[in-house]
Amino acid sequence: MREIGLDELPVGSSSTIRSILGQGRQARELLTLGLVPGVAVRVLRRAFGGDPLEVSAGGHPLCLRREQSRQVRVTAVCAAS
Amino acid sequence: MPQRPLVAVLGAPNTGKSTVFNRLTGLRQKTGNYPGVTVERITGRARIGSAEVDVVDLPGTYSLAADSAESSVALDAILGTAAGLRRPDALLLVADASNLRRSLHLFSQSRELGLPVAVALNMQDVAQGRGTEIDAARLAAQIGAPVVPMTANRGKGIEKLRGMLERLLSQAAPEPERAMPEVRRAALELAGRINAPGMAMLALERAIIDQDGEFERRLLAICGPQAKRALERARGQALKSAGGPSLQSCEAERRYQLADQWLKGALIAGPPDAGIRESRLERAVNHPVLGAVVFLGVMGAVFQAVFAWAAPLMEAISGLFETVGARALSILPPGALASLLVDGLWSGVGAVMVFLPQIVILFALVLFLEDCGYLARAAFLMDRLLRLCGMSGQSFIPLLSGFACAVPAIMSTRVIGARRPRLATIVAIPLMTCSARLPVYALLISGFVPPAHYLNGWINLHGLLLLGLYLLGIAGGALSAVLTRRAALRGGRDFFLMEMPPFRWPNPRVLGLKLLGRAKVFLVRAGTVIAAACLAIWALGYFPRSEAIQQEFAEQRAALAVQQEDAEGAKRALRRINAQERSAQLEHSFLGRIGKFIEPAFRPLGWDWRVSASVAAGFPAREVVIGVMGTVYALGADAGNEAGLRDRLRESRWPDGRPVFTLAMALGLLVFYAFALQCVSTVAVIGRETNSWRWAAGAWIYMTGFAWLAGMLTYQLAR
Repeated sequence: MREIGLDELPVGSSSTIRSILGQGRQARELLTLGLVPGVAVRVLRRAFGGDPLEVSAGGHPLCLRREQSRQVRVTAVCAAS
Repeated sequence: MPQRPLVAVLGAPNTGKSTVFNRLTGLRQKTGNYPGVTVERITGRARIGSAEVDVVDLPGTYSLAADSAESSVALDAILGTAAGLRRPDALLLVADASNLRRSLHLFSQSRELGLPVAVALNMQDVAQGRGTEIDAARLAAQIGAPVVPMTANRGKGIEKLRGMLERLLSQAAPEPERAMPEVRRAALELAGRINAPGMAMLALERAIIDQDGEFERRLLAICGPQAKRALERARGQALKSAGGPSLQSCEAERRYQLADQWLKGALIAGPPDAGIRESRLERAVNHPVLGAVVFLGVMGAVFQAVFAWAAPLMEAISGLFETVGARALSILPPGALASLLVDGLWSGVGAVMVFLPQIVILFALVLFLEDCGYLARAAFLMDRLLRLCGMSGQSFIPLLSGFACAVPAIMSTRVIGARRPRLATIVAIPLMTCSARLPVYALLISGFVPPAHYLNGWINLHGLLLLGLYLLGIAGGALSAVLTRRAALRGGRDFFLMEMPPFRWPNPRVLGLKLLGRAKVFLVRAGTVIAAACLAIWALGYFPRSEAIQQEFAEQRAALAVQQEDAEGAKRALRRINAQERSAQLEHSFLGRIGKFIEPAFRPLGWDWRVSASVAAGFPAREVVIGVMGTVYALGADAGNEAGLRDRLRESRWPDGRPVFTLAMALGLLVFYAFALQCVSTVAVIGRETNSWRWAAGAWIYMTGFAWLAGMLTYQLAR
C-alpha cells in the first residue's frame, strides 16, 4: 500500500499511521502525544490557508503544523469516506 | 525522628493534577522555583490516615522523555536528583479519564521507576459527559496498581484517595515490568563501560532512547564527548534487538499498545471518535470563515467589557483614595511626614489599586475563555499569523494577557513549548497596551486632539486614536518579535503541537483560584514595585527643600492674610499659592534637577524639563506619571483631577511664550509612551523567566531607544 504524509490526507478522511519520520526531539514530541504507528488518525480540519491542521489520533484531538504533519506517514486512501 | 514520607504527584497538563494536589494538601503548601530553571516547585503537607505526609506537585508532563524543562524536573525529582528534594516514597499518577490512552502511556513509564504507583482516575464527569465509562476495579487489575475514580474539582473521591495512599505507603515497590528490556540491558552494559557519577540507571536508559535529549546532553557533559561513541554503540545494540526505525518510535509504539490493551480490558463504554459528533457551537467556532467572525466578535466583546465595566470601578477607587488622602492632609500637621504618608505612601498604594479592576476583569475573561476551551481554538486560528512574527499559536493567550499586565503574562509564556518562539513572545508582550498606559492616553488624547465625529457621530476621532494606539502596540510587539528572531534567535525549526481541549463549562471555584493567583502576582510582583517607586519618586521630588522658596511663599501668604477680601477668594488664592510653592520646590528638588539635566536629550521630541521629569519619573513604573505631572504642574490639592491637569498642561509655555503641549508634541509623547519599557517589574520578570539579565537589559535598551526614535519622528513629522 502506498504511503503518504498526513498533510496530504483530505479533511474528513481517516487512515492509519505507518511511521514517524525524523529523529530526535521533533519526532519524539509527535510520538509522545500519541501519533504512533498503528494508530487510527483522521484530519478534522485545517485552519485558514491550510495550516495548521487539527487531527484526531486514537480518538483525541491535536493540532500541529503542516510541516510537522509531513513527518507523519499514513496509508494512502482513495477519497474522503 | 524519622522523616515524613514523600508522595510525588505526576501527570500530564490539563488532567486536574494541581486540583488533586490542592484537595489533598488544602492551604498548607509552599511555592518556590527549582534552582536554575523557571519551573515552579509546589510542595505541601497532607494528612493521610493518622500520619502527616509531604506531597510535591511535579510539573505537568506527557512523558518522562526529558524534552522540556518541566519533564526534566519531573524525572529528576522522581530519581531523587532534583536539587533540594529527596527521592519520593510513592508516586500518584493523575490520569484524565476522558483521555486515558495518553495517561496510561505515562503510567507505563512510571511503573518502571522502582516506586509504588497509584492512579487517580480524574475528570470522571467530563468522561461520562462524553460517553466514556471505565471500570476502575478492572483497570486496577489490568495495570497492577490501585485506581481511585474521582472528580477532583468537585471534591469527589478524595477520602478514598487518602485511604489508598495510606495503603500504598506501607507497600514495597513491585518488581517493574519493562516495556524496553533491550534498553535496560544496553544501559547496564553502558554503565560498565563508562563512569557517569550522578546518572541513575533510568537516566542512562533515557539517554539511550531519547536521541539529542536532555540526558544525552548530561551524559556527554559528565563523561566528555568521547562517551558519544559508547552511547551510539549502546543505542545500536538495543535497536538491533528491538527492531523498528528508532528506539523512541519503538518505545512509543509498545507503550501505546500496552495502553490500548489495558483500556480495552477496562472500558465499559467508549467515546465516539472526536470530531464526528460536534455540537452546533463547535461547528460554528471551527468553521473557517464563521470561526474568524466569531473570533473577532469575542475579542471585541472582551475589550468592550473591560472598558465598560472597569471605568466606574476605577473612578470609585481613585475617588476614595483622593478623598481619604485630602482628609488626612487636613488633619495631619503639615510637613515632611504628612507629605510622605499622603503624597508618597497613600497615593502609591492608590496608584496600584486603581488598576486592579481592569486587570481582574480582563484576566477573568481570559481565564474563562481559556478554561472553557475557546482560546485553544483561537490559538489554532492565530498560529499562521503569529508564526510570521516568529511566535506560535501558543503565544496568543500570553499576548492577550499582556493587555492587562505584562508581569503575569510573561510568566504564562511557560506554556509555549519551543524556546525561540517563547523568547520572541516575551519580548513582544511589554508592547501590548497594559492597563497602566491608559490614563496617560486618555489625558493626552482628550487634552490635545480636537474632537471630531464622523458618520453621524458613530465614530469619534478620540476613540479612533485610542484604537490606533492599541494597534500601534500590537504592531510594535510583532516587529519586536520579528527583529528578535532575526537578530538573536536565528535558525532552528519551531514546532507547534497542542492538545485540543473539549468545550466545557469552567468550574467557578477553580477559575476563582486561578484569578486570585493572577491578581496576587500583580499585587505582589508589580504592586510592591509600583508602590516603592511612588515612594522613591516622592522623595526625589520632595528633597532637598529650599528655605528661600519657603520664605518667599510664607511672605505671600502673610500678605494675603492682610488683604482679607471675601473668604472664598482668599481660600482660592491660598490654594494657588500652596500649589505654586509645591511646584517651585519641585523645580528645586532632585527630580526637577534630573528633569533639567535630561531635557536636552528629549528636546528633539519637543519636551521641556517638566515633561522630561514626569517621564523620567515613570521609568520605574509608568503608573506614577499622572501623579508626578500633577505635582510638576502645581495642581495642588486636586491632583487627581484630570480636567484640572489638562488645563495646566495647555497653559504650559516655553520661556519664549510658545505652548509646550502642541498636537505634534502630544502625539510624539503618546508614541513614546506606547513603546517605552517603563516598568521595573517587567524588566525583572523578563530576567527571571529567561534566566538571563542580558535579555532583560537588552529589552529595556531596545524598547527605550525605539520609543525615543519613534516619538522623535512623530513629533518632527507632525510639526
